[in-house]
Amino acid sequence: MQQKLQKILVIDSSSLIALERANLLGKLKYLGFKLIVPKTVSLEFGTINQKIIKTESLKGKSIKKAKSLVSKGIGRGEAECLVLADKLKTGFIICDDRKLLRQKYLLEDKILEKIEIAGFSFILHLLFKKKQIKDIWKLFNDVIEKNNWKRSEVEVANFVFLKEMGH
Amino acid sequence: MKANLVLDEETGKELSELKKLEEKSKSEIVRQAIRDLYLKEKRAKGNFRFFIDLYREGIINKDMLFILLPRKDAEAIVVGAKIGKGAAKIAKNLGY
Repeated sequence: MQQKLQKILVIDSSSLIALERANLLGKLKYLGFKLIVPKTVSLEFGTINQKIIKTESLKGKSIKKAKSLVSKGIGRGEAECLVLADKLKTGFIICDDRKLLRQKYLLEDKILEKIEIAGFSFILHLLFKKKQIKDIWKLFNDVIEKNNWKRSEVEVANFVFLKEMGH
Repeated sequence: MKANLVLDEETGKELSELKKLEEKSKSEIVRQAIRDLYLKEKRAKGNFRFFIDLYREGIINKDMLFILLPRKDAEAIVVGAKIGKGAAKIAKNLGY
């Protein structure tokens, strides 16, 4: 019997906080994705009362890989997200950390090169496709303003993502 | 408006050298530098997303961005555009 592939999103606290500030956390249940956060992100974000978000702890080699990324200056939560995404073969993480965006551009690292970084706009894109939100650009501007991301790498990355996806 | 400027040793030397190279007064050089910074800041403040689009579509290159905008804005556009395009590519490949 062919098993249906489960859609998984590994998500960082930066994006969760951004979505919370724009009152969008409640919409995550409509995504049709299993949302996973590593232990550190769950601690950073505080109590995650969304049933849809599961916490996963790293084990064995994954802990070593995360430590190696941390030693290169990457935040612990972001490092754990990258390693988890690599382990689960999702190909990308959801993260809006300015520092990580710059590190992805500047640092040479196998995992950083392999794993793409999508931001909160990926969630907006999915919610729009699922007809859960209408004015995607209004919400985009709302998130940017509430998180003080004007004229930053985060605004550019998310803006370019939406444009490239045809919005 | 008159202004007294306090410069560190290195900037002071650079200003003196510029005075010789450009054959302009120190006041003129400072005025021009402020004017350039002002225009770059105004451009970025009013048209940031327009510049993102120009760069994303390949109408202007990295060098032009650094000439036209403040350094931090040009850097944000170069880094962010690469990340955003990478994310869009994988999202399209995965059929999202």
